[in-house]
Amino acid sequence: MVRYILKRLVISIITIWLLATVTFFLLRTLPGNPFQTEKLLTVEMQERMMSYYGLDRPLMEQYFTYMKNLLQGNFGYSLKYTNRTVNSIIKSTFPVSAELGLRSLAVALPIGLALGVASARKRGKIIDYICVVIAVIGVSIPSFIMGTFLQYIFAIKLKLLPVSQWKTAAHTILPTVALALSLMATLTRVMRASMLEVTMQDYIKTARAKGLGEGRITWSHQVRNAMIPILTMLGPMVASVLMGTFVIEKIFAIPGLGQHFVNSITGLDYTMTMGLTVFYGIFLVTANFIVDILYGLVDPRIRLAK
Amino acid sequence: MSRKILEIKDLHFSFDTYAGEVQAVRGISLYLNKGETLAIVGESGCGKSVTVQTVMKLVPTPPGRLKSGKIIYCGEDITHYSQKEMQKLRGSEMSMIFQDPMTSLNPTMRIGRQITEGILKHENISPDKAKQRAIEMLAKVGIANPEKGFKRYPHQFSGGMRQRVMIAIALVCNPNVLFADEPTTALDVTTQAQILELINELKQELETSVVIITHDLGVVARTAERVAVMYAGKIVETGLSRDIFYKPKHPYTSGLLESMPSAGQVEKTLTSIKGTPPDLFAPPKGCSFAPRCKYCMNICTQTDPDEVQLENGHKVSCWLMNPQAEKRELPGRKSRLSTQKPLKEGI
Repeated sequence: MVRYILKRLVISIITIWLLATVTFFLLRTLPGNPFQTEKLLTVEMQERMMSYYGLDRPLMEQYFTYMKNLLQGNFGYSLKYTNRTVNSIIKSTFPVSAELGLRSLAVALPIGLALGVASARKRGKIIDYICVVIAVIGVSIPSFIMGTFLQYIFAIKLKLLPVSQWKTAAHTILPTVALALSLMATLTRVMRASMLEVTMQDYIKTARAKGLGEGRITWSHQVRNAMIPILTMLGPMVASVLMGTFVIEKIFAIPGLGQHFVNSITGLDYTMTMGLTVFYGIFLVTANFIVDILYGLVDPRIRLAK
Repeated sequence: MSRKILEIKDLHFSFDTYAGEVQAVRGISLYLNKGETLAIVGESGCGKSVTVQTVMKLVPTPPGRLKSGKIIYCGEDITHYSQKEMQKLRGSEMSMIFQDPMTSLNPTMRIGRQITEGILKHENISPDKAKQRAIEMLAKVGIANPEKGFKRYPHQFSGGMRQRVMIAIALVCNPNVLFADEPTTALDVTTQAQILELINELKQELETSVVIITHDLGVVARTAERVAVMYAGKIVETGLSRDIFYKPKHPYTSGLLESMPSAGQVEKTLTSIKGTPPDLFAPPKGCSFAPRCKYCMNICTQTDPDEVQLENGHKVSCWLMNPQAEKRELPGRKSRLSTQKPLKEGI
């Protein structure tokens, strides 16, 4: 087990290094410089800014400086937010995004899986159709429509909840629901397909031949086996949700991480983009590692050697 | 007639598909006496498995549909039992083992629990007692170190061992009837013999009646007292094993026996029955074996033959048995093949 973890750690470090390197050079191939968009700056001032941040040095030198800082966990100063480090921006916005993500997952996971199970068990019956319709709606309606729709109904018409912002628990409900709906829909679809797949397996027939009831068969034989594909998608899903969603955070005016992913690229904020990419990468690699450990818990066939 | 533990009367079972109705079972009647082994023999797709799975109501309906017929178990008509009522019978009164032991066990559940959950379902005993019973059963089916085996997962066992576990699961509640649906088809030859021997032994010990489905006449010879030969959803010939082996009356049975290679065979090519079984979407008029039959007469393609009773309960459905037909001697098993469990010296 220790050997396995060490091996995974080395592979993860190489992955992150590749990610950082490729992103670093790709960013520099983009035309323009970070200060060009600010119309007030003269060319001369832009050049002074470039040299202030060391962006006029040879590219390889910049790369090594960046890497050296990265090794110390230092993402550098943002080029757009004056006097703020990327680390501090992540530190202040990530918890908000993560909270929203966790809340949505906490809603979407149990409901999504339950609907998937229910719809597979009642295949072809009314419940199945209802679940499928919910799933299709959740997958096909984009979150900006769902978000504004929820705001219109619950905040403006019914005046039950605040329209936007991130202050009290009441503020979290609408964005959580908006985000959870699409997650739930995906989970329902995958769980349903997976359950139906398991239903066809011979061991389900064995379970029936033992005289077990249908409820028993679902709980002790089907669900666990059907969870394997869910786990596979759960790693990337959790990572992307916790990292914040641009659209939902924008609609509900939530000070999360999501907006920075988009703004840093359009503004050519090199250090910010680099920092977010590496942060996301580390997060994703960790999530996948946890999923691999969980695999072993669910399926003894892939349990790791001790 | 109280010796009959299970009786099937004129069973018709079909599958409704988009392409139409598949008549998988077309009027089957058979019975199983207490303590005996009955073999159902036939090619793939002739309705053997559907017949026994219908008795246990394991065929999903729809698409399956029981059209007519009666299933009588221990004097009780169970034809229209609900799934709830069947759940009480399954496992405790009748059990089944399947063809492929690699896929018949739940890969994510320990062997032990797969055995105890059946016991706990049917009997009101503590989990500890159930565990003891399961370990005893594992020992009985020949799993070395049963305490350890109890905690293992299916993938830690070989195919033969898994089939032993399947037998343990099936017999742990001491059912009256065991259906073995091609129990040795997926196993290699040496393991096959061991599994058949195990089924024979446990059958004696637990006084279980066995229905064994197979397409392998070698399996029949090793296990069964009586045989029913199925073709295209019907039973064409049934009788004691020795009558079927040495005095077959139906050309299909005779063809099956002829196509069995024997140890001393010198001819280079193996004998086979020419042609393929009929399409069960539209079963042919007359005898369904007629298109492949060497002895086919005009009448055979026109009308289905009636069943003719011979000695020792030997029954056959063939026009050749008609007094007006030309007398023919059908070839049976040539070399001596004992029907009395020649297991050990055979291997």
